[in-house]
Amino acid sequence: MKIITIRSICVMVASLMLASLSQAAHHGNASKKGSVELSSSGSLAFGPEGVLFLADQKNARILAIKTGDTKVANRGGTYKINDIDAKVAAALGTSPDQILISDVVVNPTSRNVYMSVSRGKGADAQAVILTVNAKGKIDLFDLSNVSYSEAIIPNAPEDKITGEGRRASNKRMSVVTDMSYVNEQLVVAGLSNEEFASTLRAIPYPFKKVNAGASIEIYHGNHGKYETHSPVRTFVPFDIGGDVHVVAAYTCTPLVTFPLSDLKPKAHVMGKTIAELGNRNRPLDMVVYSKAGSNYLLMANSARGIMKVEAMSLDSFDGIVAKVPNQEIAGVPYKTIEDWTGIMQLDLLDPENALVLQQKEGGSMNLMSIGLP
Amino acid sequence: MRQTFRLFCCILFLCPCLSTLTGNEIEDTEEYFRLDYSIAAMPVGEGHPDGILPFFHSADNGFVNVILRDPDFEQISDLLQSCVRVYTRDPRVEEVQPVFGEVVASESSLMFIPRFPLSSGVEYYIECAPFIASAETWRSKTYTENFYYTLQLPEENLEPTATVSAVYPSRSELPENLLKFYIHFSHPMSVGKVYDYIHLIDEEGKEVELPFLELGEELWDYDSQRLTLLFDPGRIKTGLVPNIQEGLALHAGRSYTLKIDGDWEDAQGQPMIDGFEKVFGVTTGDTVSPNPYNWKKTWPSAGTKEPIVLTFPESLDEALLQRVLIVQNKYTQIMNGTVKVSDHETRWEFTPSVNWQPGKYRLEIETILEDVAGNSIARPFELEKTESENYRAGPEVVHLNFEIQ
Repeated sequence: MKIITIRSICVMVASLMLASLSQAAHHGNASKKGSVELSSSGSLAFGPEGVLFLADQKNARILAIKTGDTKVANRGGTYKINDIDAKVAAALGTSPDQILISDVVVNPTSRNVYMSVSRGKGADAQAVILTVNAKGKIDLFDLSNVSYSEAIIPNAPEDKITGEGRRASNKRMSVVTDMSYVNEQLVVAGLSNEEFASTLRAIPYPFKKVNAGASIEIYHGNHGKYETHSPVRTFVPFDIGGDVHVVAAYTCTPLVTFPLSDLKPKAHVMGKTIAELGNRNRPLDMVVYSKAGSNYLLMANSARGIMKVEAMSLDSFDGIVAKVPNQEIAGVPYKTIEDWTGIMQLDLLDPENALVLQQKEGGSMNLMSIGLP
Repeated sequence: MRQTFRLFCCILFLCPCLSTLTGNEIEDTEEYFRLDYSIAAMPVGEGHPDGILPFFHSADNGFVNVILRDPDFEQISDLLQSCVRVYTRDPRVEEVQPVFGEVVASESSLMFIPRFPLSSGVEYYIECAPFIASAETWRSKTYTENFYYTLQLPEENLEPTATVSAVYPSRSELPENLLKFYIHFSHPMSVGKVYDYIHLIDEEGKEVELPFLELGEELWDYDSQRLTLLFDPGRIKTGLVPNIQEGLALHAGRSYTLKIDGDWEDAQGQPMIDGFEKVFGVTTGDTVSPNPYNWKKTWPSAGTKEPIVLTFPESLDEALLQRVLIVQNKYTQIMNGTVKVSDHETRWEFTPSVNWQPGKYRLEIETILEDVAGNSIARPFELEKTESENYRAGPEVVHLNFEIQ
């Protein structure tokens, strides 16, 4: 959900570092045209010129679909759509309890809103991409004749798969927890359903014929004493002191930063812990934006309102090196915006507004635009 | 409780007849066809040459005035789209978006083909908007009020079939820093709200709050038959806020019950036959990496299909044991065979599909292989920083060489 937020940063830093990532033999395909059959629809992210990245994790691939949605708009509409899940269910001809909305993103070019949705909750659930306008009209994004390319994410080491029971029933799958396009590469956070080791993949885009990608092990220093693997729940590229950094929130709650240039093939990246959410509080989604000449990070989390951090403080913060006192959130100075509760998905709609998917008491979902704080 | 038909269509059959129209609005009747219609709903794939088996709903009280001589269906396609709409709620009562689908015409019928299979148990409202099209202009005029029909696919009378078929680790003594459970089901399950049905109960019968990492992206296998349930790593990792404030979810010396509710629906919308409970005791934490050189190995003899047997001093990760050990011959070709994991995941056997030949072999083991507390061969789950450099450059695989005579 974040690509729009860092477009200006992308330009600043251009094409450096990961050009050398062309190892890590992940297969990919050149651009082709035709029908895309999704097995699943997970995370979404927008790239340049209306390219929509879509994680189809059941097929262990990331698709780059040319939406053709490239008409420039400076402002998004005003969204106030109650019970978006029920409306989606109605359009898909089923009941709201059969709808899962995996992600909501805004095309930063056109300001149009895209949703990744599963219809049905069983193994035969249908994966669809929907668009929704400010009036609440929902349309199916037609995948029957699109230009697309794909990058395959290796699951089990496929070159070692053998027959007759050896790995024949491979149950390993990676889920993509977040994606973001920056500096001509798609950064993908993944989590395995088997080994705990986590990866961030940096996949150059356009995907090459033999697609390049780099898998990076992520650690975080734990108060200066311990370090552990940490799956990334959500992340966003962010300008800190003039360099592109990744600000990543881990499933185990620390918020860390590391320079994007640290993402080198086979690297073991150690993040600087800049904040830690309190117990019972899980990071969900992040965006960055500019307001009145300053950059801010906005993070949705499961237990409290939205957390707002000023970029300047990230630049000067030394990292958490001592035990965190017994409080809700520790680390960099932040503000909590209590009004924004139940935010499950967060993206920038335009320079002044965020688009949020908000879960209400009782579980129904609203899709709203809210002025950036 | 939803049973989804593989494909299901609603059809308007339009039977052309040059009868006299009764509406006063109509003039010049020879320019029009009057088309009586019936609504039919039919599952595709049974009987009809096109895979359509109609069964009719009432057709008594209405008609749709459509089209004309020599209809050019392509030309009037847009017009037809507004002729039939299907909703999941009553469009006369509330504003609701129609179900995605397409109205397709042929010589004798209009057919609404929903974009996705209709679901049983959902009441569908079929709205028929009569219109008249002029043969010359293809211009439509409203002729009567819309007609409405409701349609509900019968719910299939399915019996519950799903059970929890296995939970790993399978042993009944587990370390307090246990990292995950694998829950296997006999049938594909419904996804999306798994944490509502999974509970960790302490020995006083009290539910442990938030012991698991509740990810929106649930960690299923491809068929939705195995769920990976991670304990909240923030509570396990030393010194993190959740670890300090809440501590571990499990405490050594106590016993717990992993409880799976029986009302968790399978992929067909049926509850499980029964719930499931796994009672286990908790031991002190395990912070030591598995070491292949400490495993007991039994090598087979040439000319047999005897298994290679490894036994471990502790339970290892069941899923990884199935996947990350391979046997190679002296040319590093991978040997085909079957793997069996048993004795509470302390025993691994590999039986080749062909007899062993004399010669040199090796077992290749990926160092991501973990014990039940997430300590892998490559590194413990958490490391003191002073040690970390020693581990980072570690190999991705280790080899155990053996010779068969």
